[in-house]
Amino acid sequence: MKKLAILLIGVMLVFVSCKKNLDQPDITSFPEDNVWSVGQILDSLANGAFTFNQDSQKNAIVKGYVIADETGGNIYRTFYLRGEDGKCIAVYRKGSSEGGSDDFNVKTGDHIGYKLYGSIISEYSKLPQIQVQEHDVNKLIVIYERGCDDKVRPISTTIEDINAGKHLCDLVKISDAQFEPYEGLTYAEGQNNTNRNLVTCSGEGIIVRTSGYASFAAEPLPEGRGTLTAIASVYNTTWQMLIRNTSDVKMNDVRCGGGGDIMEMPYNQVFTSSFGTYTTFSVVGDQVWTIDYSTAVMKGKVGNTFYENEDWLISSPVHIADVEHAKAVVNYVAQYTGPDKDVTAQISADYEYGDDPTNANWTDLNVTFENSAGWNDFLDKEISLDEYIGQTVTFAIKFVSSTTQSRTIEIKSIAVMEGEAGGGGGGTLTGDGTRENPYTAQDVITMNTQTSDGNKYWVKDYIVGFVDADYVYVFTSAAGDVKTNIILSSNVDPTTADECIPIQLPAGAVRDGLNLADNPGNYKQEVLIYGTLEKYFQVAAVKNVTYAEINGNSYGIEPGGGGTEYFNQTLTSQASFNTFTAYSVAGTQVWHFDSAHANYGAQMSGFENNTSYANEDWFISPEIDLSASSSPTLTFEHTRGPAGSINVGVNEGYYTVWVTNNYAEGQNPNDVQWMELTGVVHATTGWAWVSSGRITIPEAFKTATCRIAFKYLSIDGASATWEVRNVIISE
Amino acid sequence: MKKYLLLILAVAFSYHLIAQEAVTDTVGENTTLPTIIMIDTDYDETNSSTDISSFLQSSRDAFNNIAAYNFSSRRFRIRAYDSKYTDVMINGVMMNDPDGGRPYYSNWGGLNDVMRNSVITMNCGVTYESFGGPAGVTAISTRASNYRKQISASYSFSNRSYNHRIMATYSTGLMKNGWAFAASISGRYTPMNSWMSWQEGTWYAGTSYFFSAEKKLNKQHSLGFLVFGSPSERASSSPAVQEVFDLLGTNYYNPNWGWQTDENGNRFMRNARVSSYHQPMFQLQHYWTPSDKLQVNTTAYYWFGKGGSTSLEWGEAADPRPDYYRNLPSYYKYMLDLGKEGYTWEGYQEYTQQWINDENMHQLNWDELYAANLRNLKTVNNANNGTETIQGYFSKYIIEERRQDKQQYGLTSNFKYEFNPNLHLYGGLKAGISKTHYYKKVADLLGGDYYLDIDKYADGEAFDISDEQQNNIRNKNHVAKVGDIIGYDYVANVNKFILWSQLTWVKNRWSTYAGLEAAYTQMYRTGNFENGRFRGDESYGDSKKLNQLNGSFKAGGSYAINGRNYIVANAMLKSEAPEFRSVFVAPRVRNTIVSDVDNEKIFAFDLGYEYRSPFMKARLSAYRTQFYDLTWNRSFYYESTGKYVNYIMNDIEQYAQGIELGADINITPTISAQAAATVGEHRYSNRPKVYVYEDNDASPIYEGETVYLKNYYAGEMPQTVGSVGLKYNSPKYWWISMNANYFADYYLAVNPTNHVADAFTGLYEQDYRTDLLLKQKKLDNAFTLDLYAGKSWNYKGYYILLNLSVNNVLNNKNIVLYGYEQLRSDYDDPERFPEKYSYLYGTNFFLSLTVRY
Repeated sequence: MKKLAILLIGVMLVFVSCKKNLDQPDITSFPEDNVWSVGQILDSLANGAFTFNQDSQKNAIVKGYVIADETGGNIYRTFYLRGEDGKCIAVYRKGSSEGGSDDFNVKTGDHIGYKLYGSIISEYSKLPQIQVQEHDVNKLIVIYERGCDDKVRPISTTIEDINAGKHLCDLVKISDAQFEPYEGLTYAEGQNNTNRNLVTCSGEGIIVRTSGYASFAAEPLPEGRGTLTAIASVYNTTWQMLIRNTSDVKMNDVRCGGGGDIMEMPYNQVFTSSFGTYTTFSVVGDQVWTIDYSTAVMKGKVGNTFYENEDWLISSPVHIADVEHAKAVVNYVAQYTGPDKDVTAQISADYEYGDDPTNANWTDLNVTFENSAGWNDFLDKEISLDEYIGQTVTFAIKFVSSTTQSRTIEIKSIAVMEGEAGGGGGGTLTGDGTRENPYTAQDVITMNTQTSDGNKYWVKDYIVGFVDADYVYVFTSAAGDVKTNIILSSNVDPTTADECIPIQLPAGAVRDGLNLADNPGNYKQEVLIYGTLEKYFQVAAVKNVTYAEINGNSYGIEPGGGGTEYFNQTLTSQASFNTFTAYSVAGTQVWHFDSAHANYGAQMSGFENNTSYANEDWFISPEIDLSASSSPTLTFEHTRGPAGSINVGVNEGYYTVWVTNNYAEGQNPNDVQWMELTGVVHATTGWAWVSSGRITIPEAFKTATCRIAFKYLSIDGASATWEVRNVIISE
Repeated sequence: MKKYLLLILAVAFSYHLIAQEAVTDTVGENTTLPTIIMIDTDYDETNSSTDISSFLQSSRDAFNNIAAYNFSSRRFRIRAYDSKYTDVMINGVMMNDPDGGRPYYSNWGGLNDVMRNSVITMNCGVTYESFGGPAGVTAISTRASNYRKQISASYSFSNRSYNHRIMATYSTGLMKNGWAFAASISGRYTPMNSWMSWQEGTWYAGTSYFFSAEKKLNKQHSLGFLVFGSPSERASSSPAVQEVFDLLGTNYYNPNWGWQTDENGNRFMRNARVSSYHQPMFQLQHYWTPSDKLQVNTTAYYWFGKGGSTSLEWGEAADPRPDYYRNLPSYYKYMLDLGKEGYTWEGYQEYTQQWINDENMHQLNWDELYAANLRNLKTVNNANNGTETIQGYFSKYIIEERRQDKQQYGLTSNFKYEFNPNLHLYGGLKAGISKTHYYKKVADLLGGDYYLDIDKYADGEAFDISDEQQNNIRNKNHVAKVGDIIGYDYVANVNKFILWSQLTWVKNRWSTYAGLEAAYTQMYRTGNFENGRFRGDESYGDSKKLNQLNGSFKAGGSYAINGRNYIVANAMLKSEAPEFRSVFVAPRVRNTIVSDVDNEKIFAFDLGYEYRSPFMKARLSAYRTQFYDLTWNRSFYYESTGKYVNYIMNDIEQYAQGIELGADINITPTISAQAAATVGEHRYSNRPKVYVYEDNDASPIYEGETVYLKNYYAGEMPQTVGSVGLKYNSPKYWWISMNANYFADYYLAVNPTNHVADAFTGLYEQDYRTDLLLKQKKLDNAFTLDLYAGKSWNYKGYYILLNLSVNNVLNNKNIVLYGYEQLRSDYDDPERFPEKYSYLYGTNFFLSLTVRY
């Protein structure tokens, strides 16, 4: 019996099966052994555009969450990715005219992995992006999870922070905002890309840009006040917001900013797109305060004629709180010369908002608004309001011009706040960016990239450390393996990042010579560098450094040879471009300048409408007098692209530089004898700017009629784009 | 001995505890029928059928009893056997449908009183009227002399399948003149939209009749006659996606009905799906007892009648069903997410609100269908085979009736021969001819004058009807009126001849048996339409005749260790011809037979231990069944190609195995307990092959593509169930019992289209969609309470019985009764076509009063 029972139990246990794996076909595994964070990609991009084309990068992927997709039609061929590290980047696929590709097929909220191999990481008008050459939904992308709503929530922030570049490419949310103006307006006009002004109740403003192809383009702008969720984007220096669809806009509250209510401190009015809570009053003259250049502008000159004016820019009544010190801070630029006391700060205790200010009693606060160094060199004028603590007052700027004189003043903001007035107009610059009088790190901070015009300037100050992978400013020489940047400060022992500017070190001699990892001795040494003033790590910085001097050593290519300059054209403005002659020997495409991408310099491409055409196009300098020179050399910067075409025609001589003595304006260059200048260094990465290297002008061309020329060739079916800038001939 | 028993129980239960939270179960005595559930699915429309989830009456075994009455409420099937694996017989005549194999109890619905006399064999075992299927045999006898003299009448009140039932039965018993009669009639009724119904828009009406007569000629011969039928009409409900249940806040939403306005402006509810059956059976029996040792019973039968159900059909128009996926708010959202022009967030919210609040949006809008038909004035040239030009209002929408009219006749004969008291031989033959006529006809033109009978799925130009669009090229451009046959028209011919025998031997402690069966099946299709896409004998006339030969064997027995302990074992090897539906690529339109037609083969065995004492009866069994060469055939809209396809999966292997436990315990003379539990596993065990044919194109999309289903659960029922019950039996003729039931491991059947290699083109293993496609959906575990009570009186010779059963006492409205993955699947967005569900009713009751004299 016992045996039987045991047998029975045994048989039954056989039936108790173990866990079985469910069947499935062979399914490819997505490689996850080479994961790049978005932060890593951005760091690498800080050193210039690059392509994932190394064998070791075959499996490189980036992981993150889609925060905006193409739904709604406002965002085109792009999605925005918030990496698992919280950093953001745009992912752009080339369209059919550029080689064709599938739709991304991702949705907002998708947790994805994306294969990077073949992609170019670059900045498109300062917008960092992964440029996908050919998107293939079957090969490049994996969607781990859909509907990760908590990972794609917008970040609540301020326009100030957006304008400071703190949220580039990220999904942000602005509260207490409204469109201004809005009446009768739609998101976009016709099929044009259209900018609309978004203004917060505190007066900050930013552009909301909408494509004419957005599905909601023809919908009216909402009237009310509320929140706006959008991708923080940038186009060169213009910060802008891209909404995904109208559900990103929730503006049902009553509009703010009627003005006239008693404001509390801090009372900060920014004149980006409106006067906000301020009012204006024209006592004399036809000219009035206007909003332009994202500022409140007043001038008494129209064309070449000066007019007599008295115009007021007047705050709402503001209660000066019971604090130890109170002040008004006026952020402005001013130029030209006006009559005495033409711009004054006034204060009144009995002004009725909206009235003629001459009916009220005003006290002149007795401050002088000095002219600024340039249109971008904003100054802060701090005015003590200590006498008015505890009172409710009205603050105003009174502008006066005469029939013979007028200044132009542009006020970006006026703040009434707690604090001791710092006295005079801060922000004076020590240097002017020349080699003789270079900018200091403090100058760069003061200018805050207002001078990011693509031109290079000289900057001189102390090397005080570097920025590490976590964006932390490290004030030591122990740089670890960070070679890509250093930081400069006017204070040799800085304590905060605010006193410093990061310097991007491009690969090559400059990086090799300056980076602290290899050169700890550079720590606390003064360095002179030559580069563009741009944002880097989201603050004012110097990038594209091509030359540096430290401790008597020099690295990189010295601009203008350091010696006498005989010729210097940036080609980054229309005027500079126009000094050259473009001559098309063959083909319909020509050398051209694109003001929307001024820093691309002079451009030539045989590629149009998705086809490469045969071209021969010359770009010929004006006559350069080298008769007094001894050993003149030519340097210039150039780049080619796209990445896939980087090798097109290099060996065949498609991109050559020539010199002659006897070219006459308008002549076919082939009717003249030229000599090729050899030894030009070419870019090997798509869209990477490189210096040509120092090219000697031969003895025979040290004449008064020397010209150099850039000769571009392409054939039917094969071409690349060539861009040239900063052409300099010097000793 | 007791010790061993406890040990075994402990082992069984401990496994159960590990596998799931343990629950056991009991049973009270149930005199009512288990709930009969009407279900039809969107892929099985052509054979809308009444499916019964369990047995009419169960055997005395505690497990089987509880399985029939308590577990079946959530579609549990004993040992995972489909109902087609049970042979159901009335007087030896096989009642299983010859085309699909399933028995439809609705054919004798309402005749409970007279169909009570039955012998039920569960699973493989000794049988008396046929070899039997692996799930067993239910043999009902209606021999008039077997009913005792009696008059009985009953009234029942319920909120299940019907609200009211009256039933009256009269039987004479064997009278002195050698005659015996038995007769029964009943009526069942639920009004449209009864306040008691769980689902809106349903109604039910049925009557039944039964008459059996027997004349005893002499000691050896007796003749019998039987006729019965159960005409019924039912307006049904359909499963739906969870989205609509959530939107409307009820799990009992029924998409099949809508409001219609009559000529007088009165609105009334109308259901588009009404099934209607009346299939009477006639039998002549001959009972012959030539000696004490031999009995021969022979029955000749004729079974015929109509069966079918109505449905909306449409041409040149959008799908009008309110729960069609494109009509749901989720589709608006889908289009919005795709950024389609004209779809806005506000529009989505508005549409959603409209769908929820407007009955004309979430139910059928009949008035709109009528309005559309009355605006569609057009002319059809060369109508009715080129003979006429017809102008009129052509219905875009119609109600069609999909019919399956039965025509069966045959002969069955069984014998029993007793060699000696220990050795018996049983055997018999069954010969049957079945011709089921499948067709559709126009039932209502919904206000229009005509309906143009062409194939809406076939490619063709709008104003030029191609031959390919003709459903019947012998009647081109058929302009149909009410009653005309449209769409398809064919006869399924299934002819069967079966010989079987069984030997039983009982000696000392051994009881054993062994049986054999040989079967011949001929199947062919006779097309009455010549389809425009499949010309000549591809669709018209007789198809190739398929002849299948099958042989089966079974054996088993029990050994009595002593008077209280028994060991039981059974085994069966069964080979069965495939179902008619699975043999043809597209039986509605084509004569083409699928590749690799093979007989189904089943190998089943079990081993059990039984304990019997006055205190307790218990059984513990382990079983395993292997299925080979199963076929699965469906027609549906195939998202990958955008075409209506016929999808045939064959060469399927599955197994079902598990442990069953049942116990009846008499705690005191008045208090008893019952417990039953089973832990099972029902899975695919190979990678079947799939053949996919476009409905309107002869070339296959897939031919023998592998379906990766190995180890997936075959699903469609809870694999783990348990029930405990307590019963109080008062000496004063009343009783009450309560059962607690637990259901677990309920997997939905997988959609095979999601398990072919093609589904994963461009999907990485880590992709969430890969997981969604591969994952098998499991329903929530569920707990229910059932209550039973009864009381009887004896009053002046009248026996009065009052019975009440209440199921789902806790009124849980969130238990999925039944669900399935939609076969339509979007690989890029697998959640686009979610599962459809049907929910278990909340508290439901059945009250009946019976008077017998």
